[in-house]
Amino acid sequence: MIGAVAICTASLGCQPEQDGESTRELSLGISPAAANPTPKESPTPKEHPTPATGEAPGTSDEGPIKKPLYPRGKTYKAEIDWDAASAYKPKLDASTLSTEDHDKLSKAQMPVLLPSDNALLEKVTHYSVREHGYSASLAPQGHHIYVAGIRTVHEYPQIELDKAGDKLLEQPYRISRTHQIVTLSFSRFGVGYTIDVECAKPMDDTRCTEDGYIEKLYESLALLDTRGGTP
Amino acid sequence: MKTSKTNILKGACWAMLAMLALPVAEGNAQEFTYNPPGTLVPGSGTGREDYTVYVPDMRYPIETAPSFPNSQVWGRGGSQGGGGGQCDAQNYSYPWWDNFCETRSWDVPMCPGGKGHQGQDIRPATCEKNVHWGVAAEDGEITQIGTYSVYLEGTASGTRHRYLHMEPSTLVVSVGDRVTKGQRLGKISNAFGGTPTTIHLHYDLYQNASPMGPSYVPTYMSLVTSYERLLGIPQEPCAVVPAAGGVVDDGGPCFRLKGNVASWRTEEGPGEGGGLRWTYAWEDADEDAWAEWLLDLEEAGEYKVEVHVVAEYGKSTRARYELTHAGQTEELRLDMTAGAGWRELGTFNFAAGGEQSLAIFDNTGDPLADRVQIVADAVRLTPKSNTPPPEDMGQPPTQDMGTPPVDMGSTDPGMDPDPGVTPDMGQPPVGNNTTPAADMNGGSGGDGGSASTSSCACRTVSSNGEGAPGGLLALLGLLGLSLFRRRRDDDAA
Repeated sequence: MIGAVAICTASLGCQPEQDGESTRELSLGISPAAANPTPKESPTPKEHPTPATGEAPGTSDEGPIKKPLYPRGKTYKAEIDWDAASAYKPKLDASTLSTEDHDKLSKAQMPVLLPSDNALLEKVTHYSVREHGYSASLAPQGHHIYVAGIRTVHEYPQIELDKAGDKLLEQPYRISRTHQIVTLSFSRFGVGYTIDVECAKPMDDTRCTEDGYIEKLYESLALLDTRGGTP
Repeated sequence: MKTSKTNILKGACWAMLAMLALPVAEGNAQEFTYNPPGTLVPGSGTGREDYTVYVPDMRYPIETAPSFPNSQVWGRGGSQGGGGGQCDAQNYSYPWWDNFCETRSWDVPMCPGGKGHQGQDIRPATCEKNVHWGVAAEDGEITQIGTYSVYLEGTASGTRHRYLHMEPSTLVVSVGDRVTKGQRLGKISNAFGGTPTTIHLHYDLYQNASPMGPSYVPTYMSLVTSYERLLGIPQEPCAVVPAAGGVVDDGGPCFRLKGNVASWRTEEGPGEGGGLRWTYAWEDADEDAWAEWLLDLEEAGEYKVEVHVVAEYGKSTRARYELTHAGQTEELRLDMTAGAGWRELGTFNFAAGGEQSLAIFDNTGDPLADRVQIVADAVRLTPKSNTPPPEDMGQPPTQDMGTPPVDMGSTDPGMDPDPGVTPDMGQPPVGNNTTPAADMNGGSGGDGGSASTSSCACRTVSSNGEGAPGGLLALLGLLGLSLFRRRRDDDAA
């Protein structure tokens, strides 16, 4: 690894490397943005002008000082399109679930999607229902499956994607993969869903090295009738 | 800004305590440094420069420092690392490297080109497996344990935290367990389904994030800020505004510069608490720089909201604010030129607790060429109820009934339980040397040098918390009576 053009310290934030030592005061938590405004080199995408006064001496040639940004957006519960959910097919045969599991899932304040394959449902090891959504953990032979719904939305209005990112959002679902765990993400009924597949032998199992298996799981999802759980 | 010196003293103390409390490790001797987010190891791809802390209050996912997020593939010992072994000292040194968008072929909307690694690889303190603990980043439920993965669904944030490569035989949690922040989960190893990887924790964050939908979100700055907390680097908590009301100053931890923070300027001297921030307004539809006062209230109720304006820096006739209170957000406008001192925005309902704030934005509509300044200084909340102030906020009692309240935040740093929120006793009580009218307009909560006007802001969204300024007279009377009784009780004790 070679040195980068900028470096960040815990309290100083990120600045270009320079000769001068940071002050003790800054290292003790004073906002560098406040203490050392960086007027001329700031990465102002809209070419916001530099205030004419209030500059700290000797800082005009420094690059941008940046600090962690805390999300401005709201966190809220998504409004659910229950009409679309009612019209959705296939429906899951509720008899494949125990009364206890059905009752539990009925408390999810969102449409519950699960694999429709009865053989897979028999391999569920745990259902979780929580304020933010639900999940089902399955452990069929040689791999694990995780199906989850997330109702809570984190809004990040400042986020901008490039064209490739925007194009991804136009797709009905996205597949990502890290360390061979495959994730399929999609939105439906106004809320978010995810399917993960993890293989016991990740390098050799086509369920993880290829997309076909997780796509079939996605296509097989059925809606559990959770009447009584709808608001 | 008066509390800054206080904060420095506190910071020094906290840092010293932290140094004493943390186990001694070689890496701790180095100053923690990190490359900026989006700066990847050269040759490993194009990163996303994203300073957003997606999970603000999370615990660092490894129990002890030091710890070294960087690249496994492009680090020493990696397939693209240029020789050496994974235990090379360079892999176990600062600065950190972001690798959220490191070159991969998989869809990650937030990465340039839509492809990336979707998480952060983190080496523990030493190149030893099954030694260092991975811990819960927040309270939550363990919902999945795979061959080499552990899923934690966070209770508070609704974030999925995923931990890869902990040694399965070391796991001390099971699916369905409820865990608390910092609780041990398992030991970091190289588990990867029979094909060992390097010794590291792959850690990622998954949210239903608008506008992307369900996605992995950048982990890097959440790790940076949580690591700073782990190291004991002072990060003062935002204090709770007491039931008696209080002042939230730009010099405290409840104030945050946001957006293009480099556009803000600081002036020491003028303003509430001895300092203020300002920037130029502009006509663009979107904000460039903005700032936020976090309002975490002890008690629900109606509060008068005022902002402190210094005439020299408040030049916009249409300063734009957004007040988030009790689950609703409304835009407010204020003519800053109509008067200096405490300026009322209105009276609003607030819920108890956080997730409430006042924000000021630079997109007022004022032409940029006109160099119209907006000022961000302090916010004062005054309860509309007749509730007397709490008996003891950790502040020395006021010196005299005729003396305006003193800003106690700077008098004894060791005793201030609420950094950043100065309990404000309102105006001098009725019966002192100041007339009631002067009380209404002249109480500055401490600096004593600013006048106040009571003109209200324009509100573009209706609220059910419309204020009635005239009721303040009765409130002031009760506050004064309360103070008198309190002092008498103190004397008796």
